Amino acid sequence: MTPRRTWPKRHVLGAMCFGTCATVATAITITIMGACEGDTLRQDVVTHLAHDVITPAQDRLRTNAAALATSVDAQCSTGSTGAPEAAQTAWRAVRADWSVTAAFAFGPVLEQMQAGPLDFWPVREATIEEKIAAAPTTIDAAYIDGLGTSAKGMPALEYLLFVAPPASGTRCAYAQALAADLARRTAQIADAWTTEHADALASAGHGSAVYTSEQAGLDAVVNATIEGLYRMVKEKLDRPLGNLTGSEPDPTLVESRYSDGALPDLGHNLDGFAAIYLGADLESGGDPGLGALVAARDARLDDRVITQLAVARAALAAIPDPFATALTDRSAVQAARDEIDALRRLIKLDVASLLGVTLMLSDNDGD
Amino acid sequence: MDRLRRALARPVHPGSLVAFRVLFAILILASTVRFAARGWIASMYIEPAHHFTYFGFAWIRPWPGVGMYVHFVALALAAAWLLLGVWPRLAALVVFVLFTYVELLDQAAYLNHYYFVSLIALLLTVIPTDPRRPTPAWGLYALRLQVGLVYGFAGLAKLRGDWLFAAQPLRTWLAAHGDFPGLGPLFLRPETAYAMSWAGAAFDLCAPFLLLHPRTRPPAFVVLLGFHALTGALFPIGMFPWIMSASALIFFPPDWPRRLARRFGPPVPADMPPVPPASLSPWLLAGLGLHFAAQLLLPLRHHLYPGDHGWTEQGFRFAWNVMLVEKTGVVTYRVYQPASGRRFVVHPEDALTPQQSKQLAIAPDLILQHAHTIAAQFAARGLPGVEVRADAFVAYNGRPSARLIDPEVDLAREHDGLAPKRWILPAP
Repeated sequence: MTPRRTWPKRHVLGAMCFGTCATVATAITITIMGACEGDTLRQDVVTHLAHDVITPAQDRLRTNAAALATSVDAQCSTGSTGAPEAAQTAWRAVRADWSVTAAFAFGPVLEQMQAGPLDFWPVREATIEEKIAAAPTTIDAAYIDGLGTSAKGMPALEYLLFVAPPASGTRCAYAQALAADLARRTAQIADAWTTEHADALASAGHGSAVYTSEQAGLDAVVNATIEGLYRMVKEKLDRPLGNLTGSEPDPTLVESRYSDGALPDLGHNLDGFAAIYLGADLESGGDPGLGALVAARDARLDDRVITQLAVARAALAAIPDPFATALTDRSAVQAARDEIDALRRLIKLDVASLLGVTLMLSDNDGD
Repeated sequence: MDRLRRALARPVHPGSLVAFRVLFAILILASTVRFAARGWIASMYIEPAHHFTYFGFAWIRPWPGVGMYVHFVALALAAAWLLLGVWPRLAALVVFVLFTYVELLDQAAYLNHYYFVSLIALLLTVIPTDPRRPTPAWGLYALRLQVGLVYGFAGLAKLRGDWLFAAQPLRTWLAAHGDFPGLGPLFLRPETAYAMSWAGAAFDLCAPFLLLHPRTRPPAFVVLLGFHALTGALFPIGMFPWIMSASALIFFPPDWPRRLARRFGPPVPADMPPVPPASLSPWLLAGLGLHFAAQLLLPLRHHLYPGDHGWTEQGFRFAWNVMLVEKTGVVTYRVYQPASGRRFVVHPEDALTPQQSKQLAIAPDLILQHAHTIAAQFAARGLPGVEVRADAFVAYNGRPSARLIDPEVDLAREHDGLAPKRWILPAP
């Protein structure tokens, strides 16, 4: 009779059990050893971005939008048909501020659904002219509120200020109402950031009702920058280049075309991105922007992002003025598009993965 | 062979199998209700204009109109039927068909535990789970083997450089949980990621054996519950921890529900009388043999393909590669029609849901399938014969992002299939 060989099995099982327990115990020990150490950098970053980058930018937009409304009022009250420069300059300032905030278009601007009413383009001139022709004697906020997005916002006002500057009458009243609407909407966004959202973002994961974890706050910031870069590539460059339709470049699809502001707009979009990545001082290693988190985990990636940002800026700078003419040549605009797309990839793939942003598993139960 | 047959046909107490069926049915029911409550029926199967079909299953399409809602109601009712235990094998067959149909609709929705559910439902179509009479032991063994294979292959899949020597992707994922109550600061430490990676691999490899042995079973089950509770709390893996925790109960003695009832509940009736071993149908034996042969081979098929299957995804699905990769991708298509000389850029996000876009960007077979869809769409618009190339970049397990697809290859001319895809570039 062959004796039963039970001990070796037990030994094997015991060894397996011991191995598992030992590894788990090691993990627990490391856990306990490290429990007292913390990392506040992520919280520092979202706090800095909320209070020192995003909210001040929204405040500037509010202030300059109010100044634009005043400027348009002044132009209409003096009837200075031939001297619209002040209002145009004020409009450009608002446009610059708005373009900066495109890099962090999340929170109130989405919740209040302000992007459409503020920035619908390309402009539908016929729609605007129709609404002016059909406007009542007194154009108030309620009337503007009732209009579709294609008849209002910054691009509609740009059309009025730069194509045929109004000096009086219904056209002027319409422009005044549009400017007032801009001021009101940008104030609503800024108010929301000042009174609630900045604190909500800064306290992400620490009592915030909006962002239940630090990561959720960081996700919102990073995803907004990715979305902003994507819009630059697709809407602002691919579309006018004719890439989406396989057709010739179309200058009528260019952003801020009446003020020839497409290039400055794109530059300000990158300024907004830079503020998020580098912090308010726009310096690497200074204020804790997103880049501080990246540098802490992967200094080489941080260098790559900063370098690619510079390359994208240089590619934009290489586009000759005016943008509409440069568009027909394609090469310089296409090169800028490709470099901005490379920056988008860097953020969406490398940075987001490093910071655990888009990563994780899918929302519907990944494994 | 006779000994094996006798062992498989040996009658055992049905309690464990009945409990397994009941728990499984409850989880299917809960999962179905949850799926509907979250609006996923519409967002995943009704609203998308396009679905990524499985190779060979392109004929499976979502029901039109309210059909998908009706389908999920039917699935919930079938789960309830399985729970009640009336003609349980027929109920399991209905659950299997209804559930698997949904899973075959869109590759972008593939999840390992959905596949696991289909497999368990399939096994329950042949395993007797009648609480009134003893059941042959093969049913118990089959379920144990199925669950054990999941853990075993999941453990084997972790024996790779990324997991063991770079602690990826756990290192990336844990770092996102720096504010996790109590443990957050630890998750920022690489040592934690390494410890959890090694512990996870050891656990997966050992779990079936530890659960089989009476002495190690209780502590192993406690560790298993802790493991699934932790991963469930850290990662959005939905029903997976519940399903795997419930499934582990199959390793307990066949009469564990009765023992439990005796210990904690009211008095239970006397145990059922022993019955002679039932005969084992050769057809059933052959069917089970085929099933488990497939289960053994499918996870190993990636060895037939060149390169890192985590990167190429060839042989990656249906292989228990659980939580093994962190991939994020971006893909843009360049379309050229030689006849007209026109060139287009196609951003696939325009035509897909966020979930589909996310999966498309990291999976070469989906990128190929969508290239064919684009070519067909252009042909339908009066632009036939287009060439479609992909600019696809992927960040993989902490490596710098790199091109996934050869940008010079016209994907419209490439065929889908099981052969190695030579146009996938090597992993960085």
